[in-house]
Amino acid sequence: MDWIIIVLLLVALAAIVQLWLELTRQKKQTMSANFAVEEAQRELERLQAAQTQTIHVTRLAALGQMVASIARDINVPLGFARNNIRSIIELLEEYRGLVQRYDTAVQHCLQPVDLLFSADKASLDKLVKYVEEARRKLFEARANVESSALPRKAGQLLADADDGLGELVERAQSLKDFARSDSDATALVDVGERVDRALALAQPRIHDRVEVLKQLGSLPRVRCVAGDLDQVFLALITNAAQAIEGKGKLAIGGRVVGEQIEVIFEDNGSGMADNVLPKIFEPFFSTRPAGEGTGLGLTIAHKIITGLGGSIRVQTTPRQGSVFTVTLPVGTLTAESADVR
Amino acid sequence: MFADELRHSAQPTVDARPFRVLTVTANPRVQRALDVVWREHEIVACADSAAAVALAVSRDVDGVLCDQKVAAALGVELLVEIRQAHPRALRMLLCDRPDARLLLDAVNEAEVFRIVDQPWDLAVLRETAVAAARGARLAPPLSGNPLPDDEAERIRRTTAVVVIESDAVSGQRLRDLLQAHYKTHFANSLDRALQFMEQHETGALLCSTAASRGELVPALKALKQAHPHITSVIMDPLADFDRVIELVNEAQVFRLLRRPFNPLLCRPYVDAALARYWNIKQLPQSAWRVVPAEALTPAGSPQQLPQQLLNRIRGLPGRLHEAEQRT
Repeated sequence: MDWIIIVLLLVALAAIVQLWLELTRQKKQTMSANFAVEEAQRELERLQAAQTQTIHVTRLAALGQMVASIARDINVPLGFARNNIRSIIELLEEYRGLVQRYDTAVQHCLQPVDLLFSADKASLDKLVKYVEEARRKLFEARANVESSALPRKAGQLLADADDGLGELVERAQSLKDFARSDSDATALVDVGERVDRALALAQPRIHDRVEVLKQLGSLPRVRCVAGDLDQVFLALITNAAQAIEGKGKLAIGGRVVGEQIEVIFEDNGSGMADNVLPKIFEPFFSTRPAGEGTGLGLTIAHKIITGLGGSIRVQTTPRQGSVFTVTLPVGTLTAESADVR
Repeated sequence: MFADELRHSAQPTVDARPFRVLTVTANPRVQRALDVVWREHEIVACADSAAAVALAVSRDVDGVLCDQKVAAALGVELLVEIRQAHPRALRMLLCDRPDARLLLDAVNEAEVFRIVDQPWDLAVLRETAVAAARGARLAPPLSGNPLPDDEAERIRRTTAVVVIESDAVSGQRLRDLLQAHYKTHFANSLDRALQFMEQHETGALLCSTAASRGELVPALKALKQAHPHITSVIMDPLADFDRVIELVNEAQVFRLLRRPFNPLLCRPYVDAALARYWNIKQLPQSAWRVVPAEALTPAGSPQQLPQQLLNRIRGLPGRLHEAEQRT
């Protein structure tokens, strides 16, 4: 009987030991799983940071490509302002000459006054003639000073110089806004304003070569990072401008479709071949010569828009043009879901 | 030397009337600035592209400065029309955003005297007006018509066309295109070209800007200053617009060929260059219409060339004054 009890106790002990071992193993597994989850979380954060960095680097790369055109954009109004200022200096010098001639005429008038008291009749007649001539010269000099167009011209040149400098300030502000990486707070964003901003940034590429027809109408606001939309629209406008050889047109339209808005970019450029279309959102794919594009513009644009819960659709016909349709959900996004980065 | 005659000693007498220049721009800021810069001259301002050609003719202007774009019209197209309607006026194109097409048309179609790139240099712009007035007043317009067949054939047989091309493949293509039709000499460097030109009278140069890169541009300027009748056709990829403008203004390049070049354009351009050479040679006074501008930067000046090279360029045979003595 005792040995039966002993056997049962041994079995129970073995079961307890096994249970303890199992618990220990499971605890280790749980700890390991927790560690893996934490590791995965850290990796996710690293990837998100890298993605943010990539988007910013792409933005800076786009900026770099614009630098040559922007340098010219800046140089023209700056040179204009500088030339005007130099011309004004010359005009003021000429004006000073007019004033000096007026002063001389005044001096000329004052000379006979001293002679008045001691003059006989003949001298007085001479004096009258002299005074009349002096008055004529004085009036003429004064009329020249008063009617001179020099101050008016100088004023106009200064106003033009001021306009030129104003353009520079505006351009510098656009560049600063675009290059900033810290303005990534989500907000309700006016799509039309972002299209205008992107058009201003793309101006060096489109200039008067590409006629832009914009008809966005009244669109509801979208909750997102404003700079992200700038980047998307800039990529699409740049893409259209590059597809247009010589002169062409880019139509930008907008409409509300249910709970979504659509922003449509339609160009009459070269379009894309069938074998190109499937690759356009792939990283580093570009049909442009080396050095003219990062191959990331449309990739990042696609990433941003899908991250916002939207999409980019493309229709293209070789030698006729392309239509890029950006779809964005209206006002339904939370700040968290909008913060794709 | 003609350059000395042009620049220093014998400034010819130009009638005392102020230079009358038509300025065509729809930008009031540009117009106001031009009014002041050229205030010593008589300015005929025009913002309406449709009226510009008629104004140029009716006011018998000496020069026309046309903005790159005037409302809906392209400035270079207006200049082409003015070249036909009123060839006496020297043409200047004002641009703020040059591109390859614009430069090709400005040189090959409008035959501009100067391209004024914004922002302009005040002193250069003033000098441009003076040079244009002098050119328009002193010399009759150079004919744009081809020479009679027999005369053209004689010039092709007697006057050399020097091709400077360092690329072997392009060089061979040019040989195939030109050798049978002209008295050609092919050189792969400036030095070899000059060796030939020292022995033979040369009417036209067809040269690639890739050849003798550092020295070619100042050498072309020196050549135009000393021998304004030698007419150059440039082959360039048109990637560096500033350099092309420099070549137009300071070397008076007659034709531009964009690389890779269109073979169909080579012979018409060389024929036109030989005709231009012959026209100036026949009427040396007309060289005032192709006076090159002073170098904008000291670094781009022909004076930067080694003195020996400069002397070789200046000493080339067939100068204009020799032609004057013969005629």
